Parts: sequence; C-alpha cells; structure tokens
Amino acid sequence: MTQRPQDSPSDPQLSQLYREHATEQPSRATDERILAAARAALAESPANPPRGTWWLRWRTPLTLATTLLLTVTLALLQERPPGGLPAEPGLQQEAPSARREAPSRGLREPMGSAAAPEPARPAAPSPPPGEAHAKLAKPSGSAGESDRPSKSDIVAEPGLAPTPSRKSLPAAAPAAPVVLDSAPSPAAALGDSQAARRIDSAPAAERAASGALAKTENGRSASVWLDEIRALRRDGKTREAERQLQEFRRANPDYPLPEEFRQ
Amino acid sequence: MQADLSDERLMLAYRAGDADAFTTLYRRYRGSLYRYLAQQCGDPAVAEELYQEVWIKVVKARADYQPLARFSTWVFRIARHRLIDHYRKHSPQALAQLAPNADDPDDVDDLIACLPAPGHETPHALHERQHAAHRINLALAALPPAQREVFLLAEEGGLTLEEIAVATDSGRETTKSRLRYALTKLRHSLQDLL
Repeated sequence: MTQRPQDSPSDPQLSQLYREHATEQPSRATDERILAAARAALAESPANPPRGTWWLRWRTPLTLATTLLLTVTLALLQERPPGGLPAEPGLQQEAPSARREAPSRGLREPMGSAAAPEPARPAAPSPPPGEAHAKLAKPSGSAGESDRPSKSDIVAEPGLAPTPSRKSLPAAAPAAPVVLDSAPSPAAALGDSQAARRIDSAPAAERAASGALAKTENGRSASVWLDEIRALRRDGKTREAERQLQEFRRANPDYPLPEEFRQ
Repeated sequence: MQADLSDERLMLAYRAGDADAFTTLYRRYRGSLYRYLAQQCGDPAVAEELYQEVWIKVVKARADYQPLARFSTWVFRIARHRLIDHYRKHSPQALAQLAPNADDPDDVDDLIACLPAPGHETPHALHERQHAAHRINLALAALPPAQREVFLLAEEGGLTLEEIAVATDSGRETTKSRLRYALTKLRHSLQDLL
C-alpha cells in the first residue's frame, strides 16, 4: 500500500508468500452485522453530531439575537430624554406654586408700592423685559442666579427670532420658546384667570402642564404687554394704560419694570 | 466513484452520513484487519469478536474522526488497543510481551529465546504439512507478539515504520529492529516454501 523507505527491512519473497496464502476472512454474518450497525448508527446520527456542531449551527442566530437585544435595550434607554423627564416634573411642580404665589403677593402688596421703584435696583441697569420672562421660564434657579443674565435667558427672550442655539438647550428649555410663540398678545395674559379655572377643572397631569403653560404665557406676554401699555400712553389713553399697568403688576409682581413705568 | 476516494475521504463521507462510503472502506480493510487480529490472538472465534468490536468502535468514533493520520494507522491502532484490552482480561502473559519493556531491541532477542512455539507447532515438526497457509500461520504464531505485530502491521496494514512506531507507541528504531527480526525468523521458518 505504501512505498517503504529504503532503510525499512523487507523481504519481497516472504511478503509474496504471505499474501498468497493469507486468505482468512471474517464470516459473512459478521460483515452483515457490522454494516448494519454502521447504517443504524447513521440513522440515529442526528442524536450524535460531531462535537461543536451545536455551537456552529446556532452561533450565527444566537449572535444576531444577542446583538438585536442589546441594540433594542440601548435604543430604549437612549430614547428616554436624559434631562427632560426629570426636569419636566420639576417644571410642572414649580408652575402651579409660582402661580399660587403670584396672586398672593399681588394681594399682599399695595398697588402703590408696586409702582414704587425698588430700593436695591435703581443703580443697576434695568434688564430687558424678556430676560425676566426667560428667568421665569427656567425650571429651577435661585433668586440670585435669576439676577444674572445668562445665555439661555437671552435665547429664551420673547420677540427674538428662534436661533440655532436653542437646540443646544436642555430638554426642558426648548419647551418655553415653543409655548411662548403661541401666546403673542397681552390678551392671553389677561385670560390667566380663565386659564387657572381651566387648570382647576383639568386632571392633575393636565393641570401641571397647564400651569407651566400659564407661567410661560405670562412671561412671554410681559414685554408685549408693556409695549401695549406704552402704545396706550402714546395714544393718550392714560386711564386705560394705568389700568393695564396695575393689571400687569398684579400678574407679574416680580417683573422689574422699566424706568418709564416706575412712577 | 467511491473506489477512487482515499480512506480518509471515505471516512469523512461516512461521518457526513454516507453509508456507502463505509461499505467501501470496510471492504478495503475487511481481510487485513481480520487477519491482523486473528494472527495476534490465535483464535478465529475471538478474532471475529474483536474484529466486530473494532469496527463498531470505528462507527462510534466517526464523529470525532479527524484525518490527522492515515486511516489505516488509525484503525489498526484501534485494533491494537482492543487487542491489549483482550490480553489484559484473558492473557496477561501476552500483554507483558507487548509491554514497553519489550521494546528494547536487546530484550527482543531474549524474548524470542524465551518464547519458543510449542513442540508440535514448530516449523520443523510441521514441515510435512501440505498446506502452506497453515505453515505461515504457525510461523507467525511462533513469532514474539511484538514482532508479529510489526510484521502484520506492515504486511496487512501497509504501514510504514513511522506509522507502526506511532501505532505501537514505540520508537522507529525499535520497530525497525522488530520487523527485521520477524522477517528473519519467518524466512528461516518458511525457507522451504520460498
């Protein structure tokens, strides 16, 4: 069968003699038994696959399934706004409290004192009206912080055209300009009491959202509202302007009025 | 078509589910494997039993079969291990003769001297027998198992010295020495037939 190497001992005559006479064979019955066993083993072969076949067969589907599962999980985790969801409840909680606070302050403070200049602020340049509204729109922040204008304040200023920088704001921030744009006139602010009634009758979740809306409506309308009052003054409608100003102060007790309105 | 395939290809085909490949392979080794076992154990009935067990082992081992060596080396190695198991159970003396301490060529001569065939089976006592095959069988039986094994693996299995050395877990030179002794002794026993 195999060519023997040169140094391999061999005896061709002996080999030939052996092969001529080596004729023993297994019995036919043994042959049949062995061949039958071989066939039977193949018949039940699926139960005895080569080692590693299971893994080779299921490797690709398992890998794909795992990848898919991880991708879906990550996508679901990613879809949850990182700062938006936690911020929104804060905003919702703050809005009603701010609204509750606003009328009470207005009631506590006499009308006259509202028009009087604040002693701590005369030296400081009066901030633009929109800045204060942006402060109100901020979900959280201390009073000290609110005195300092920030980039987000400027971005949130009503009346300004939307800028690309809005996109870089936190998730809660873009909500303010969007809602503000929908309340362009002082009439919307004047209808605050109606809005409050709506809020009272709305379900809790809806109420929280409406609270945030009312606040932003207030903030948004302030500068426009003041423009309206200026226009009334220019037109000589002093009484109406005064009434509007008082209404404004009641609705926005913390709003730093421009110098012209501090009488 | 399958007759052209190598033993290893046939075994791989059988592993893949081709029953005909096994039949072809079986026919190739049917006689040689049987004679190897028959000559080694000296009992046709036991040889048939061992022969069947060897093939069943081949069938069962197909899943793990890898063509790392020639099929003949693999299957004769299985046969040898089965034979050793048989010796272990039934003939510890024969097992001792296949033991590694008999691998030393120097010891082989001693082994030959220590294991003369029974008087009524010596080639001289049987030279009148007409049947040459029987003479050959007896000559083989007179060989020490280690030498007979090497001779049979070379003649029946067609294994090279290296392959025999691997199959018998011994060195190449030891195998070569055993084969040389076996041939010398057989030639001496069967000289009148040559």
